Amino acid sequence: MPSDPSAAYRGQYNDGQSASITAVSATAHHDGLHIATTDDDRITVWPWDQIGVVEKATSGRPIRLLNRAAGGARLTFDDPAILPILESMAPNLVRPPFGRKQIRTIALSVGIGGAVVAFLVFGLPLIAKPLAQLVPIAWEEQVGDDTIDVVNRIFAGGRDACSGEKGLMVLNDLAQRLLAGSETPYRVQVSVADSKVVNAFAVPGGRVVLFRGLIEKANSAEEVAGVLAHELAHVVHRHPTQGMITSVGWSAILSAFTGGASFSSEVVAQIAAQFATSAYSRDLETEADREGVAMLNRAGIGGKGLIQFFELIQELEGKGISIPEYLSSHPMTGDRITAIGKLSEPATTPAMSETEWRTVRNICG
Amino acid sequence: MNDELERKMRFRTSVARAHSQAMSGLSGTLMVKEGPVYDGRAGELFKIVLVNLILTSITAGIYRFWAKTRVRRYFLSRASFLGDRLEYTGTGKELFLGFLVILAILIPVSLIYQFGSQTALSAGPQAYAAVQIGYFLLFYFLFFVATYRARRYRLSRTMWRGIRGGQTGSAMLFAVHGILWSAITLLTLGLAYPAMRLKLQAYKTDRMSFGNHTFSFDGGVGPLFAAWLLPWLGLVLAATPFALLMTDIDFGALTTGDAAQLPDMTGTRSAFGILMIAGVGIFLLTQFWYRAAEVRHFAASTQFDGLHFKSSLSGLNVFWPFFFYGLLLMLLVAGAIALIAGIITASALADGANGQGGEFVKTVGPFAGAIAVLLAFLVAGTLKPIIVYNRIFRVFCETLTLQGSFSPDRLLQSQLNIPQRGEGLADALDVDAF
Repeated sequence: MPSDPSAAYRGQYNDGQSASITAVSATAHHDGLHIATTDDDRITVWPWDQIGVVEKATSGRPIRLLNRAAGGARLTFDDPAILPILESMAPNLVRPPFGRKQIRTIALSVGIGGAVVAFLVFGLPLIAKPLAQLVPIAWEEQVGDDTIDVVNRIFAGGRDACSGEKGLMVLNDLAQRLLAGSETPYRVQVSVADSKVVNAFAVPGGRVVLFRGLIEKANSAEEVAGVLAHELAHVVHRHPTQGMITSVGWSAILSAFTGGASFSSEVVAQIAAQFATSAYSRDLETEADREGVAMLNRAGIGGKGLIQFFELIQELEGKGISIPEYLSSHPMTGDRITAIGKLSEPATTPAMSETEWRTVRNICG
Repeated sequence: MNDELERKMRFRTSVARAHSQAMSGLSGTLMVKEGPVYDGRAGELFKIVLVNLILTSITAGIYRFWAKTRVRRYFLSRASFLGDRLEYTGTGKELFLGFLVILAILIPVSLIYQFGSQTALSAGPQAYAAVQIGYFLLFYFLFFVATYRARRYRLSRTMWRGIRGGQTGSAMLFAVHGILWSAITLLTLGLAYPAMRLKLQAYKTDRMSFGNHTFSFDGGVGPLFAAWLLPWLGLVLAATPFALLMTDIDFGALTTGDAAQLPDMTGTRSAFGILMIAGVGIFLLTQFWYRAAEVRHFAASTQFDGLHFKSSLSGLNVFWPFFFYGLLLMLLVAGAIALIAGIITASALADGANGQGGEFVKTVGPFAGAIAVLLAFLVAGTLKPIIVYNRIFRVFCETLTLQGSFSPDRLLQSQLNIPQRGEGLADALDVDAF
């Protein structure tokens, strides 16, 4: 033992029952720390395994001990001389022993955490589809228009959507032709964003946005028709609404967890939500590919244009031209192109006439 | 060195006192005239705050419960009364569990709100407004509930000489009081604000206990009104232009676009601007003196067993820490904006030659600027416990005196139930910083 075992240490005792203080002397014995008044009246014995420090021992500060089985009782020493004997005798001086209570807490935390993650990964996509049917169309249209405004602000530098009336009419007629035979609650609207980015997407409310860059890069009207059919398939299955529900769910739960107050954790939550929602949109992409090709077949256009466009994207990507937005949620794999090829039927009618194609290409003036 | 010696001496007083008392056979009632002593150091606190910031960031915020606990533990462990230190016995785990419980309640509530407000949106503007107001009132109510419950938790985790604090009373009832008094304050255009503060403080204090004794509050609102006059005038000054604008404009002319019927506003507008800035400035400056008056008055109105409280906190005591904090924040934000503006100008000049990059600068610039400003706020917020709380807590302790008779033998352990989980609601609503 590092110090004299028979030494008595002068300290102050609070019994946890009243605020009175008792001057005591403490002596170390095999069964624990014996606490007695200065007149040698025994007060109590603190077993070694119950003794802990209230705060980490630092030089210049008193050593304050607690008894893990005795609530508010405290034993305070000014003189750090007792520290070595405590360190060698009291096994749980710094932290409570690892027991059933600790295991229960850990199990509880893991359980709750697991349940939350399971709900986000498996539960949300399952309930998103039936929930999407409940969203009022009028409200969706409002959200869709707001989204398009934001898109124009970010990608088109604040420029309005392209206003070539004849071109828009051609695109909307084509959309109606593709939708013949599908059921949708929306009044579908196709618009073109004045941006050189190669992109297209469907937003809630039955709105489809094509980007000027996509029309310029496309080699034929059939390629544009292919992309349009793919996006219309998203619309028919209400994928944008489902996506909206899942991402609202993710960001609600994640930002609640990370505590919306702190900026850095808010960023982490947003990034995580983004990753998570784009990860399971692949199933939806496959569904849209299948439905889109069926639409193209019904309209007599066939899937060749869509395949050619996907190959063009692959090629552009190979050259290092980044088309980040389109690729992030549209994995452009060879498998996907082969799958479309199998479903595609040969073309019987062109997507549009030469003149119509010219007006579409000049849609942004 | 002298400083260090003095520190050590102060820590020794309690045990030494106990032994000299035992020797003289003295015990029973003490005549007290002293305040709490706080000896926290900015350096020690900075280490804690820095580690907290790092761990909170890499755990995406989950560590914040343990971070708060460490800061609270530090503040209380550096404060002592009659030679004995205070102790914070709460744990991060308790805060975390409290948070999980509240999460389970608040997520369904917010989902119901989302759907409710969407349905109401299609039902018409009145229904939508009703849902919004209802939601706001719910959270205003919960704000009071959260404050009260957090107080109960913190007091139950505060110890001195092994004795716990406590708070009885109903958080719901407190929230009802809070809502009613807020309504009165609103109806009196803010004049009744000190009365609201006093009544709520009285409700809390009368139900606050330490050990087996309960605090009591006895004080009128009179002295506070005088201190509230200037901040209130500032608020009135700032609000007047709004009120005038609302009554003066012919809304019919606005909607029909008939410009001739609109009053010429250019002169009035700049006068209104000056009025508003002056009003806000007066309010911001004088409210520190009001806060200090509040602390003094609340202390003087509070009694605990045989002990009376007295505070000599001055407006300047409160003003300086916040002034330094505001100054630091302004410098950081200005620095961040200047840095981003410099980078954007440089890259625009470099890109100017080939005509590229204009769009890039336009889109990335504001975004980078926003991030830089947020970072400035983050840094300032991290330093807040050191610049503001550490100083305020110190000066609060220095200016506080407890005077009267005190019998340690008669101050017995609290028999109140100890809440098992901590202040989840207060965390979810972000009631306070630490």
